[in-house]
Amino acid sequence: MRSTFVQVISRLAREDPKVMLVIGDTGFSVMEPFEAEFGPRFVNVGIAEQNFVSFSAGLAAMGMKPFAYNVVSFMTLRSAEQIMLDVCYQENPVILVGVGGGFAYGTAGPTHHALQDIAMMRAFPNIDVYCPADPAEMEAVMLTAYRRQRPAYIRIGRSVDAPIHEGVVDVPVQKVIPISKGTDIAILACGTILREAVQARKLLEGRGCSVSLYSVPCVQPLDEEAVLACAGGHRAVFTMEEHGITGGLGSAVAELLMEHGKYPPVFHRYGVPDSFAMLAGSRDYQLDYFGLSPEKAAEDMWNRWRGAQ
Amino acid sequence: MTINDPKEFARAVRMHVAGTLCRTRDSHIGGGYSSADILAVLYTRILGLTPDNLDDPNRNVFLLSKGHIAATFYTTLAYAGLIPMEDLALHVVDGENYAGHTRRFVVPGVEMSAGSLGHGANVGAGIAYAKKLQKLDGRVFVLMGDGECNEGSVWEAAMFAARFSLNNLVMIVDRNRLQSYGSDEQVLNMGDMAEKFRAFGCNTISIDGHDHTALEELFSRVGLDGDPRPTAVIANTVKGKGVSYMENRLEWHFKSPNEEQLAQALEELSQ
Repeated sequence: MRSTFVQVISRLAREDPKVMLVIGDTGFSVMEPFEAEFGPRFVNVGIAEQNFVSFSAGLAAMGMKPFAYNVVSFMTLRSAEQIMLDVCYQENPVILVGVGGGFAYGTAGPTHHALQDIAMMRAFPNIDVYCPADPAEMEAVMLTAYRRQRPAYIRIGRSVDAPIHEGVVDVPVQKVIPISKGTDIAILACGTILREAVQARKLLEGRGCSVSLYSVPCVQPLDEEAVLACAGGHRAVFTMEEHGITGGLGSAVAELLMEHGKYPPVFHRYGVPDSFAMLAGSRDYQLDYFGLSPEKAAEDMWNRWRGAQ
Repeated sequence: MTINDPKEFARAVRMHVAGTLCRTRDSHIGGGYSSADILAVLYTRILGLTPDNLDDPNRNVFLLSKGHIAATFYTTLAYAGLIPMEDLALHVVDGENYAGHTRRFVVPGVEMSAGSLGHGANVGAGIAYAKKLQKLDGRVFVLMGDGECNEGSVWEAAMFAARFSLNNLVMIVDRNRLQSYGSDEQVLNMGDMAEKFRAFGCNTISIDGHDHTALEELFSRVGLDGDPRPTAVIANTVKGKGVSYMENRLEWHFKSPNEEQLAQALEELSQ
């Protein structure tokens, strides 16, 4: 995902002299080619998240098009006010790119886990929230955010991810993307955990359950039409996200369904409960601990679906 | 009705603000009066802003970071001919654009929405960097309070601006030595602020923030004389300047004059 980021921003920067890359002293061994090619259009503001965001807002106020790249947990929490007031409130079109969504920095512990960022960004007016799941989605999301020229938050994981989608993803990417079409269970998954959702779907289908799986690369604004349609067509609707259970994709879907009187017999949000990860562990360990591994999620989905038969 | 002389400009602004705040009770008059002469010099002598060049990328940019002195700032914009004088009657009126803290887009000449402290120098650094990158003229002036410099973000901006040689950035600190709950010395004691900004790599000048001639001379040259460093101006001021019962009195951070106090203020200011 990080290499996709550098490839796409480099392409945009060659076409558009207003495109800039701002980093907060992160991206070692990844960002150097951009720095070498674009000189002063690359800025490392250092370990100073408040200035990182407000400086980027100032660039945008003068017509530049900055992509501001930093670690999710520090960027969204430390400088939440700068994001809300200098980017969102003043409609400065900064594209914030957060690396390390969810448990990407698993072993680093709760200071580096990013489990509240989607909720926070959703709560701010005037900002689009994207959670691309693979390189094709990342490219589509970046192009969409760039063309819309309004505040955006793009949340990615960490490692170089294998593709999930076979081809390119259409732009603009503000609709859900169907991965499979079934009749029993619908799973709406966003971002880094789509990979686990794909595996969970396979496990469920191995047990004779027919699954519709949708990727939701854009959480705000949500593709309401597609979500409502999917709720009407399946007895069980599940959301999956590598994020706290409060305020993320699951909350957005639940709010929408409730307000439209759509009550699927089975509905459950898969995410991290109201908790810190108190034990050391890799991303895979943490996902499994919180019931988000493909095996545990599929088992729980199966039981909930069967229980409602 | 524009006024060109900074002394008369500041006098007119202070008198108008006293009337406005007597009516609206939405104060911060003390910090407005400490900044009034700095604003007067910038808007009569330095910035060169007119209704026709507010979108010119080569314009000078002024950011009010201490956004709570909105009444004084709106009045400054009106006397500078950037907003209609009659709009000053709309200060904090329901449904109008003139909120208690300044808002970008809805009021001409307001380049940044403010209200939370410690944002202006950082946004200003971004504007200054973008100006340099695009080889644009014009300097970026940011007016902050000395209490505002309690915020760590101010110092993030200072070290950044020095590292990237943003000599088109002029950070002005209204050093009136009174905050919200106490004096600077009582709260955090910022001490020698000039020395602090100097240590962060800024070209730092201390000045009498009510001396129009000295302010004009200083603002006319900083950032234009080849010095690669950003500028920090420590403007030593008096909170509530110009009205005896307000000067150096903590409560006039919040209070608004009643009719009797207004009459006295207008009497003193007119002298």
